[in-house]
Amino acid sequence: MRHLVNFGLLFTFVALAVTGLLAFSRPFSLTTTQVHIVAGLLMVALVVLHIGSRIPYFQNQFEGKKKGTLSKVQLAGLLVIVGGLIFLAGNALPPASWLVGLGYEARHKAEIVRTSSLSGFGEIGTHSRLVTRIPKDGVGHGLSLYIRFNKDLETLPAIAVWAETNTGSMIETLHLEQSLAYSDKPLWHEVNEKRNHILPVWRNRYTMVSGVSANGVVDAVTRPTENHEFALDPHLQPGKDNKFLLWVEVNAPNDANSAWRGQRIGQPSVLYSAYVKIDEAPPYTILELTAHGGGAADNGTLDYDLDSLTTAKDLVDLMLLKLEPAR
Amino acid sequence: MKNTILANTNRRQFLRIIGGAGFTSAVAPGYIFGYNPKYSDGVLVEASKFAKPGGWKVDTQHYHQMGGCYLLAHGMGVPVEDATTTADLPGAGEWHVWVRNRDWCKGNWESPGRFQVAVDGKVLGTTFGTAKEAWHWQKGGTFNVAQAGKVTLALRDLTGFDGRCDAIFLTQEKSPALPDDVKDLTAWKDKQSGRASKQIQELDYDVVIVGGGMTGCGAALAAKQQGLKVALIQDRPLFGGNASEEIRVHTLGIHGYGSDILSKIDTKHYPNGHDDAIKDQAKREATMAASGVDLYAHHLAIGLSKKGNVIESVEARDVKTGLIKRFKAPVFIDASGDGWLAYWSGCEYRYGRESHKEFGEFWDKHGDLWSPEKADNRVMGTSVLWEGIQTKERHDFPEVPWATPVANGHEATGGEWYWEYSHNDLNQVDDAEKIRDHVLRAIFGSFSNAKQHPKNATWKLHWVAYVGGKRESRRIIGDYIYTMKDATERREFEDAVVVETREVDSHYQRKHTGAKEDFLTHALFYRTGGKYFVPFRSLYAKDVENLMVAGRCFSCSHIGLAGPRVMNTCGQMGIATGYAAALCKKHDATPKQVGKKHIQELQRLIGFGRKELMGHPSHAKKHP
Repeated sequence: MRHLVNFGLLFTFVALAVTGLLAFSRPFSLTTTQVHIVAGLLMVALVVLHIGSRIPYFQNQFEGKKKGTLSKVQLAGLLVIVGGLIFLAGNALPPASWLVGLGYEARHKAEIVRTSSLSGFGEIGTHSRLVTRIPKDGVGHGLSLYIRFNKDLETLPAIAVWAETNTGSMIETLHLEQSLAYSDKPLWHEVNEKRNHILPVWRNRYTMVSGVSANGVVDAVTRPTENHEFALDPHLQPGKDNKFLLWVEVNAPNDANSAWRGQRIGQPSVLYSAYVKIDEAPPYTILELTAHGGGAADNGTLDYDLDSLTTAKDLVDLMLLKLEPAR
Repeated sequence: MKNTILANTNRRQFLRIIGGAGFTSAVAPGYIFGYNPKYSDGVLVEASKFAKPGGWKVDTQHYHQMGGCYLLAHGMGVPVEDATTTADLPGAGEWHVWVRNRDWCKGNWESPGRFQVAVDGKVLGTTFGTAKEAWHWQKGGTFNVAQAGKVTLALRDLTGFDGRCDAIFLTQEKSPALPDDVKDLTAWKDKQSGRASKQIQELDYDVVIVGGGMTGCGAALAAKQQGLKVALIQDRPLFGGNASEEIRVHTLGIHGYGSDILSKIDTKHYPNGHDDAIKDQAKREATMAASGVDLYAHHLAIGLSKKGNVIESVEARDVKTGLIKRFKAPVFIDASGDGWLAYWSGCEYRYGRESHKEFGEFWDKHGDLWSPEKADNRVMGTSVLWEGIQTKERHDFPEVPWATPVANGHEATGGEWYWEYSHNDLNQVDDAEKIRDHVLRAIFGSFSNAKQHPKNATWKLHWVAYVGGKRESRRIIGDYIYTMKDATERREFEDAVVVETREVDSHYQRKHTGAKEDFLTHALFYRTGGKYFVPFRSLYAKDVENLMVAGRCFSCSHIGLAGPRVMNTCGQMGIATGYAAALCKKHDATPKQVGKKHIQELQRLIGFGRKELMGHPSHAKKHP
């Protein structure tokens, strides 16, 4: 049994160490996270077994009956060191903060997109998705966006959902395809592709939030105004003549046609939109195909001429926005 | 209601209409009625006389209210090209510039109709269209010239949103006395322009027709066909009225027996506001040009002379030159829509809705929306048609905070007939500028609202009328008042001269049923079940011996108008009066006498008596 625990600890330690290093140094990966969690749980079990088999040892150590045991001062010192490190880490103080600062998350903070905890995303069918946003503290309207893709699609396209002012300033990203959320050059359908090539309009709008332009340059100019807040909540409140635009950008890989011959991206992203007037909006609004993102990689400029698109116009069967009145 | 501008006396009276008011004299007037010498002299440049109007439009619609044919920067949100002209200065030195203009939409926003004036290419510091809401003279600045001679003047539009300028006055007086009163203004303009020293041209005709819409054109062509010497006076530069390319309402109603004439001047059934109106305009202009009728387009009727209850002459002013012509004739046809000749000559007229009790015009299904229990001033409104087009690229539209209060959240990318405005407290004649401007605000505001939608980013304004298309104003009383029951009971008249089959179709403002928009209407259709007729007794004024009235100002009740008010039917009225004018000459008779003694001859000329209506597509639906 002892050998089994020892080797088990060795293997799980290696797994934890490797996945930990990957998580520290690489973009978020669900596989890495899953392995790390499973290895961690296994290690907990093995440590419990290990400690359980060494109870007499710990009793002796605490009682100090045998020679070679740690003194109480040494034990207290060890406790202080471990506790101190936990405290420093918990409060983001050096050297823990220096260490964390070397990690991927810290180094790529501007690229990583985390939607509000008030946003939700659900796969309600093989070809249906639901994006929801509830108001903070229940004050204001909630909204849910039902997206039904073409049932003939074998793999679903990448999507981004966001709200912006009618002057084009992003308010909040409600949803971004998870595989695209952690890097500006994520692995997309087995190839690393720049995000501003996949969802160029969203990515350029996001520059205002991230401060890093779509082509990776730190944008020292584009910033929110003093009155601009990257949260949808104020815009969801009724009785204030609140209005905003809801955009969905959709792109499927490898869908080249005669006008868009690039094999990887093929036809550009397509954009659906709705103009939401909180005080006047009907309960349901269908988002309409509005433009495409061809040529928008570096500037996010919409192209409204949809004539060159073919299958890209059929990726989505329906986008239906439902507004839930404030309670 | 009874207007008493000119009473029926046996003395000859001359009436000149200035600023909506009538001024009379016993002798034929020249240009100036009671000129007041207190006003300053200088160099006057009337806007309508600009050598190159650029993108500015000459607006004649409100002359009788504000005293000028002004230039309008109707650019639909895009500043229009400069209007330019020259002024001849008699001396060197410092000159002061005064501009007659108005802020047409005053409020807590930047005025929409802003423009500047440039002298010899140098823009004066003042921005016009921002001061008073009423027409007024505004000081524009000064400039210096080293010697007498010509200077170039330019109107520079800043917004494309209907800035307006009536005149520029150049003077060496620092504080000149300038007329605001429209009567004084008109006389002063005639003096400053040099017109006052000219003789008024006098012209003789067999019949003079005022109003060059479908009615007036139909009348002129019919009268000319009978060999009369015909004058047709039209305030706009184009013929067709509501059917013209300036307003773009398609012609409705049947041709009756008048297809040979009406098919040459009518329109196809294009969507109201559509560019196809331009093709039909070309057809109509070609017809009128080839007709042999003496055409006085861009001439504003401004007065008449009358002896007893007979009109002797009508005066009209050339919009471009300001010169007045006096047209004499034994018989006149008022096809002006607003019934100007009848109004000026003191004829009884009606305006507004009668009580349904008066003529039994009740329709229980719609109650007050159709006809009220108590008479009021509501009438069917003025439409301003417009059209947006979708392109393949983004088009921005300026912010229009001055328009959105009227649009009231409404969104639209195009208009139709129901963009129509009427209000119990506004008169379609006296308040025409206000009514037109109200719909312009509705249009620009609604389009701006629609443009907030990303899906409408590629839409742009293609065309917006600036000439209002009126449906109803004064209805001149003849020997018979045509009412709803004449149409719905399909009453037959021995003196029937017009036939129609369409529904009785009256409009009400949607706000009366709770809509938030006050500029949209709804139509109610009362089916008649077949042909109905208009008698000749409704086509002449009862109070003036030699005046016929045709078109929407014919003798009818408010609901009576609702059926025959459309343009083909009005065209039939015009044709009937044109032929009647020929019979007046032939028999040396008044219209009333023609109606009594020669009605069958008139009906034969029109075509009545034939078993079937002439085969024309306009009858196809109802008479296959």
